[in-house]
Amino acid sequence: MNEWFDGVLAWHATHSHLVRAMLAGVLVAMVCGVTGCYIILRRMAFLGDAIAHAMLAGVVAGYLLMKGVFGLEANAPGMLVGSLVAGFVTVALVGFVSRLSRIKEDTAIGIMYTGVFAAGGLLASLFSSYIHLDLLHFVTGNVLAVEMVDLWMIAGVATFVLLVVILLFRPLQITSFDPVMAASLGIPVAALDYLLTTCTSLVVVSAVNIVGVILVVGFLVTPAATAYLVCDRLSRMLVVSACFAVSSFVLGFLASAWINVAPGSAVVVTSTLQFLVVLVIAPRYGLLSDWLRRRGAVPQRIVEDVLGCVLRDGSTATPIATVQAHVASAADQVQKALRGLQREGLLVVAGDAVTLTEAGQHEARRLLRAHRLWETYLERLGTPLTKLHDHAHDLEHVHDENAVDYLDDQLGHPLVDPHGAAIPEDFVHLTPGAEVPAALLREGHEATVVALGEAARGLALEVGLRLVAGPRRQDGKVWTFRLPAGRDLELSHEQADAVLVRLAKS
Amino acid sequence: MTTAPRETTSPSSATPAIEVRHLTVSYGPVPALLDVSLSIPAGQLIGVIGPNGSGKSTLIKAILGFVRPVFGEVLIFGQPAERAKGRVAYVPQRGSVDWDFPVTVREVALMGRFGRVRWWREPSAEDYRAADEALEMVRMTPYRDRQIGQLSGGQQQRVFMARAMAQGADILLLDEPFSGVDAATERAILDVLERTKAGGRTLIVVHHDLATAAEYFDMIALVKQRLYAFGPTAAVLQADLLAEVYEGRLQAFAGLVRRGKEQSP
Amino acid sequence: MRILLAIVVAAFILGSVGLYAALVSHPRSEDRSQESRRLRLVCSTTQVADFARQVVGDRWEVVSVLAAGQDPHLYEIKTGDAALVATADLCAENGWHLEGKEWMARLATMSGRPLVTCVEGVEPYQLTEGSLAVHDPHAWFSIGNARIYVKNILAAVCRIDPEHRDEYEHRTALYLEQLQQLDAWIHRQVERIEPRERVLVTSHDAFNYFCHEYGFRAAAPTGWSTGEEIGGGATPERRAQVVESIRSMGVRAIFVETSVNPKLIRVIAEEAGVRVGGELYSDSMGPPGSAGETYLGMMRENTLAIVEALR
Repeated sequence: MNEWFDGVLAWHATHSHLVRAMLAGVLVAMVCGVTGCYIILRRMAFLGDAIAHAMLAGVVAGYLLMKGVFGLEANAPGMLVGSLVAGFVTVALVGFVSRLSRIKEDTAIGIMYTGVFAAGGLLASLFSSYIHLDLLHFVTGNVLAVEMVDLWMIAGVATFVLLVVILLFRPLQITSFDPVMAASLGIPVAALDYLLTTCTSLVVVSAVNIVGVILVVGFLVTPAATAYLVCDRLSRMLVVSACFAVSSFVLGFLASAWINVAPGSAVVVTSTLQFLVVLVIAPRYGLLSDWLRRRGAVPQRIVEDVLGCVLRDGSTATPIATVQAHVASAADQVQKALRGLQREGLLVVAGDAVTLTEAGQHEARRLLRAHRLWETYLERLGTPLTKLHDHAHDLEHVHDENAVDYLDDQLGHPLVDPHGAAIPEDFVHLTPGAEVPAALLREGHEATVVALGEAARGLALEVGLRLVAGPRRQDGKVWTFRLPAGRDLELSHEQADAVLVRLAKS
Repeated sequence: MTTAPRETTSPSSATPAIEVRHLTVSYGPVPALLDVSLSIPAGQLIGVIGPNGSGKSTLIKAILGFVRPVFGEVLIFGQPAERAKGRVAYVPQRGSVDWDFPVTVREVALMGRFGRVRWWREPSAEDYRAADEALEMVRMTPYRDRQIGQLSGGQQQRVFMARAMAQGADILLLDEPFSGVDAATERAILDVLERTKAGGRTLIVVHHDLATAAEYFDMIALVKQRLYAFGPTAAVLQADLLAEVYEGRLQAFAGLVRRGKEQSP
Repeated sequence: MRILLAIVVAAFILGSVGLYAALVSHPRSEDRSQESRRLRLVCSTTQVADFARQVVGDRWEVVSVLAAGQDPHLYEIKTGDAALVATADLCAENGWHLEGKEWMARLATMSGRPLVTCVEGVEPYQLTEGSLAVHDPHAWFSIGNARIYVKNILAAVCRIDPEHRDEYEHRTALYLEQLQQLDAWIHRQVERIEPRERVLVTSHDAFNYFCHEYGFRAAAPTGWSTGEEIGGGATPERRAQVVESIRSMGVRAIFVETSVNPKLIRVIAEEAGVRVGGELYSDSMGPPGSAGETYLGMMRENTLAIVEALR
């Protein structure tokens, strides 16, 4: 046991700088990752940057106060408090300006943080005889120069922030997502906002030790953004973000040791590279998966053309070759379409022939109906017969049920298209037990009257009457019905529309 | 008096779900709401309609307790609004939600329970059950673990309704749930509303479209700074009244009114 | 449940730092009997390294963290540097904030390595800014101070390796004699310049000791530090002052430095209508193979350049 302990001590003796840097860096990385999540979800990234810069002024002010009032030189707690206050003041000023004037928030941030930062510089210059501080080094920061007192400060900040994030997870989650609802539940939204700002300021102060003021925002935001690309739940995002932050610190630090450069920049560069890699390969939100999805997608037109082709073919199993021949697209597109249709359960591929399923038939007939109605519509509006099919072929892909119903109604529920082919009935709406206007009925349908509109008054019809639809007369303009007791009724389009019937269950 | 709203409500014996008395809300010299009084019975599907900027949202905010009226009060089941927090649930406009937030459908429904869960505790098994039941009510169970951005418009609406229901609220306030959705989604949403109502809840919907208002709601409140009318749909949708509120021509509304009458047998 | 997690996390964080603190406070065993490698002396600047080499010869491995031409005020420590210090048997720094943010002292303290500060015992040249006095750290430019540097290093080396004390003392004695000779030589050289012309204008205020010792007046647009320390940095007043001084004193030439950006001096030279007389070694000595590689060489070259230009 003693031997082992001595061994550890010996190893530590020559590697204490590594242990120290790792400890400080990992702790800071964890809190940066976690706080960063809230910063990006609440769109506070710019504000985070502002706090980092404002911090400098706070440090100077804290230093001056401690030295001038208490005679303490470079008092770390004093400067820490100064940084926090400066952060607060900046955030408050930003809120004040953006709420009370037409200045938008991002502009207000730009104004305030540069102002506060410059005020700090002014203070430093003014009281330069008092200050023993090396501001430049403060700005650059170096994890290798971290001392014991810094380490304790980092430990304190990490403990505080992580406790806040863990214990207040639910309130923070809901105030970040829906502050209105949070307020309505009685959750103190403003107080939580201030708490989060405090945490950000604390984290910024400790992170400056590692990466310096200029790079702090990178370390705060980048790991969180990386986690955002792969997580769908806030709880997971917090953990993943911390992991990404720690990994970028460790890898960056090791890389800096290998190439022998200052660690701060190496860490942030690693973090950014990590982000770019994830951006490309992330499973759902990454660029690669997006590209693959789009590449695998077949244009809807082709899918519908395939369906239509199989339906028209009529045989029990249509050879794929026939489909290829009739559908005007590349062979591989057709293959993809067939596979997609099979996945959706609209057809079955058996060997080198395909068959439509029931659902497939339904859909294909719908498209056919749309096609024929479009043809009728175009012909009515004067399109020459020869162009009819192609034009309608384009338009048939506009087959939203409402649009088709509109066409059907406008055209007076036609029975045949300009080529003489039968237009299927509105089988989407004409299901047994459904309530439809009588104008939809085709010869042979049985139905019961359910309601009568204005146009149907005075026709001697009453609710509950059973009727059977007869053939259409006068070129489709007149609907005929057979009523009980042998009575026949003739209705115009408007009248037929006004009679609501329930289709009998056959 | 021409300023008095048309008396078209039949007084009910039960405590009204929401009672608004002489509510006046003003942000400046021109009041957003002026002397609005109405008594909303429980278990109804109520539409609040009016032209843009008519104070509809202000009315909702006042009911939720988000704005302080300069005069008047709002009572929720007989209690002042501040004390009744949690009995009223708000379903926000789709545009105001951050759909990219990393949160799943189930988690959003669960949020409805946060009013009851002490912040340091995890939601209990009962909370999870309530959330799941709410999701079942709106038929969103198969999408439980989906991130909310991956849903269609209608589904998104339903998730927030589930949240409102998980809250255990008796009154739901919906802000323009039908705006920007297609016909099929509209039907789906209406279906959910009807079923929610059947469960004994009161639904108050801010709506923008006069034509559909006639079909959807049991009662309508016609608001333009003042309350012009409140009562059963057919009674409120009078051509002359609509013309006055919407400053349009009588002709335009005649057709609407007719359709409204047709739908109610 | 979450409370438990919170407690665990807090314990983990505070515990690990506490553990580390305990580890650091544990004194390190100095048993080197198994080790066969040479003792290692890690110095901050090239000047200090040179002095160290003159004292220890080949018996120790002497390493300088800074390379020739690097600015100690602005230096950012790298992982390799920290690793070097961690394995050092003795660390040597200049002192008086020459090393920005005391990076050398910090590294040595954190690794628990013995440190010798070369300026200990040196009479400081005070720079006053307002109510604050700052010690000018460029003390080695006075040969008398250089001797103190060397003696400090000797004392520290002997503490660590008393076995070879004799050897170190002999070496040091020789070197001190050489420094004495250099001092006399510089005095003779400076005689060749008219007293009126003895004005030394450089990039930053590094030559106060040299000037004080050999009777020059010093002026520089940048203060004692090229960083942002108090009294450091280039301010408009200093710069204006320098230009004015050049004109009024009729200076013949001004000088750039090897470790500082020459731009400012060149611009001032143009503005004041004087030429740039040469490049001096200031915070850093020359690269291996150059004349300025050692202290003796550096002082010699600097003197020759100055005399050549101002004579």
